[in-house]
Amino acid sequence: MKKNDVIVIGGGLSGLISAIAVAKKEKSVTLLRFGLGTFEIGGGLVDLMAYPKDNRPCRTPAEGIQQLSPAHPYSKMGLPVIEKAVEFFLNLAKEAGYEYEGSTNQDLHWVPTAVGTMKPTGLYSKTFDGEMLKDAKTVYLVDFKGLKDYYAKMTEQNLKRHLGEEKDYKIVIVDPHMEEAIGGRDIMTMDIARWIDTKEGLEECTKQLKAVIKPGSAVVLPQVLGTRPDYTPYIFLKKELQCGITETLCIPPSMSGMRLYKMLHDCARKYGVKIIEQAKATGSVIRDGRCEAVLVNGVGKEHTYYADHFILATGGFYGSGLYAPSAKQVTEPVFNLPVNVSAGEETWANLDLFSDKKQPFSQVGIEVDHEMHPIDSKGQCILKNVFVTGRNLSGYDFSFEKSGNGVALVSAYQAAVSVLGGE
Amino acid sequence: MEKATVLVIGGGATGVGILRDLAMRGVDVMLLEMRDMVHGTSSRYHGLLHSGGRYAVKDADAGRECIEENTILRKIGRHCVEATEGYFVRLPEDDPDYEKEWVEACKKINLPAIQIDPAEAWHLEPNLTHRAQAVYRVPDAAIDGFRMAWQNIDSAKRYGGRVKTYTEVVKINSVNGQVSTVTVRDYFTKQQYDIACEFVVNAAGPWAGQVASCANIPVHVQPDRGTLVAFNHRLTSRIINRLHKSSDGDIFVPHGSITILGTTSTTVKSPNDTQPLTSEVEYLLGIGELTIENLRGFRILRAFCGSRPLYTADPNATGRGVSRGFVILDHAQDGLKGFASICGGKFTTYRLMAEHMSDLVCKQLHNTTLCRTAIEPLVEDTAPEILTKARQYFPAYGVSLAASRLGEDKLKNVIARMEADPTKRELACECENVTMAEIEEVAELPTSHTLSDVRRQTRMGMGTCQGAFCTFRGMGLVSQIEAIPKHDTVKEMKDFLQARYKGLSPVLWGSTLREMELTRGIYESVLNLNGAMFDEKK
Repeated sequence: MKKNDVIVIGGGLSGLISAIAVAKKEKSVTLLRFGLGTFEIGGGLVDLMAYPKDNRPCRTPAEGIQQLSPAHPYSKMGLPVIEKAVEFFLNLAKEAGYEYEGSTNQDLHWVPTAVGTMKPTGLYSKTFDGEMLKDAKTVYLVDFKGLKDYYAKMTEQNLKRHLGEEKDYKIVIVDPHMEEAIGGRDIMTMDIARWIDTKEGLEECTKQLKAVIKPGSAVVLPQVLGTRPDYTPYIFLKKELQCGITETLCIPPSMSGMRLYKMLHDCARKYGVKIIEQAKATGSVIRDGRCEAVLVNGVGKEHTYYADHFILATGGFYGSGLYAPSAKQVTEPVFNLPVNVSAGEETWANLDLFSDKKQPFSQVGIEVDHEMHPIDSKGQCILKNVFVTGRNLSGYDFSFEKSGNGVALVSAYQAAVSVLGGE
Repeated sequence: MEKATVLVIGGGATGVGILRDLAMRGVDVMLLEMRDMVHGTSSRYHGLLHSGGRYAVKDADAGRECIEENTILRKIGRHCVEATEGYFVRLPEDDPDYEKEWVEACKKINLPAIQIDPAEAWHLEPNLTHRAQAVYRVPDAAIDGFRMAWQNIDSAKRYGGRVKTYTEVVKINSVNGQVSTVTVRDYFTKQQYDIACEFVVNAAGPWAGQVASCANIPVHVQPDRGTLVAFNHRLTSRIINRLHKSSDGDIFVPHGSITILGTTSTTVKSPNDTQPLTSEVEYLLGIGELTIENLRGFRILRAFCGSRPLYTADPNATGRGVSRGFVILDHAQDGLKGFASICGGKFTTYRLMAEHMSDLVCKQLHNTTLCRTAIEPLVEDTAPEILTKARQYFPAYGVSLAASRLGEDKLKNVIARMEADPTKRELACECENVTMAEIEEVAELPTSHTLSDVRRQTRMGMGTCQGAFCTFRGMGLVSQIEAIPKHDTVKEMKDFLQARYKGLSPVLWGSTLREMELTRGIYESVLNLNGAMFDEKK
């Protein structure tokens, strides 16, 4: 029987962060993964907190966090832990050569979206530079010939409303020479990003843009500045054009999310995290209030993984970490943990999809103590060596608050601290 | 001043049926619809082309009308009808005496009901319960209410019929007891203006009372709310009815790759009350799982809710107690000439209702042309060479679907768009196989005012993902070609998603809940449609 110090279940942001944080302290860690979490959806931003109560944004993430109810995961962990987790992440990115910016105390950072709306976030890569749009007199909106899911006119229409009509807006179309694909298959941002990954592609794209773009302007692009966590295309383009450059947030698949994924994956490997693919945890072996092992449905075979500690980062409803077989009934399939549905007890869903209220069903999840141990309705710890992170947690609405990756990051960090401190 | 000899009020099945019928008889006719075509009852039902079996015992006349019209609609509207046939299934909890009564009643109305061995039924329909005591085959069929209506309009237009959508009737004016003009209001601009006419037909379904009140005439139409559940699977190949006295939740109708289970029946105050409730869905599932036992194992696509227009001379009658037959009220009896209302009825008999109403109108206009709606197909078959050409650009399985929903003329335009710009061959809605070219074509029609109007005609956003991807794409395309200029894109997308959410919010569990997390992730978390209106105030 091979035994790990720690098993992490889930390969999304919180799974990878907790695995790295533990592995950095020379523990043996195995990460069981069935999918990539929401990297491809949410993008590479780490939203911390923007709308704590209604649809009016707070000034800084820290200010918003202080307004939250005690049931919110952030409130349980507290601001000092949140700040440490943010520092941990920023150091990780720096170490990987793909620096992130932002903090809990800075004003919210507003990033343009493909719709042309602005979205507030906390931690961000340099390619999302919404700030420079404010001062630019001319804004170039770059589209690519044949690119699906990008409509520069719509971006322009709404950006104008946000940034003001007095600026000069121009749409530029770059030809990535993908005629053979047009009409045959979809050209996604990933295809363009792969083209820009190549030296020829980057130079060709820069050449075409340089021919029309005046220095000193702002350039707005879809998420195409490479597939890797590497600022080379961004720095090259910025220097050649002598313009401010920003990517926009697009519908999936998100290239910035894939860059963040690659960065964390490489980092996990560097610190010796063993990653098992296609491993769906289906159950566990529990004895005397402790988990001994998890059962995993691998490719055609069931496996048992033993460890001293387990981190459950299975991603809530979307990741299948939680499952609702019918209205208002929710189960957790690996440890059969009780799920707190009280937020949705009276009203499961708001009448309107978009409103000034958090969605009740979205706040349903597993109740934890400040160490991320799952607790029962009386507040008693259920399993001493199990820790729950990310979207599985109760008490927050990732989407309304703009706090998804933030809660994932901080809870993962706290779970790692608890694992290490419990020795 | 604009004018038309006849104004038809209401863009549901009955209204478009009358529009077509009158246009074919050479009458100058215009239809007024307060929102988009078919936004009301005619698209909010199970899509069952009744064989008449459901009404055979209680209302032989309605049953007879059904089987006759069923036979006609299969011929004139074959692109809208999926000839699935249906089963009537008696379970142990259903009264065996009713079965005998039913068999006799079917004979009386010439409805062929053929008994088969329940074992054979299980063999052909593996999801059907093994508890079935008796099974009969009947000529039920599935019918697409949207497409049927659009094809009626296309046919009417060829004969000179006109349509105005988003046009609300404010007042019906008269001179010396004869209708003279109708005052209408544009839904978007709120501007009011008059249209001159000689005759007004009120075919507003559950809103008929409201329309009649514009002429100060009382018409008692009782809106009756019916909730239905759409599953994201074809549970059976055939329509499955319970063989018992008509009740709630006893019909399953397969359509393409989905199945609709219905219906509930609740008296409501307003026909606009169409928010389905979780309790209604639970109630329907509880009944439905008697017929299909593993019903709860299937993913629910959405729930929806329509309003039956039950006509009652007796204001105390409600729900299934009210006849499903139809009546025509000539308001000359109420002292107003040139105004008639048509109330009650059901989708299956829409053509017959239109014929009777058109007969009345033509008599008063001294028009002696005979009705031809029962013999002339709604649309001609698309020419094979056009289909062959379409196959070069469309995904193979999407050709016949697109041909039938577009009709030949629009299909030709769509193909031309794909030839001119190959990027327009891409799919905007992968679930329903809707290409970019088709969305552009429909968005540029004068009747398309919102993204939801485009949805109703193309089916974009009506499939498995319920708008998670195509809302953005549809909006992007529409802004690119500058169609639908009236609204801002953020509001338009929010409205579109809200219309989807209305049917999703009562069924948020299982995979539907997962999908909702994705949709919110994209539109709320990433694109921040929710906070967009306040971001300026930071």
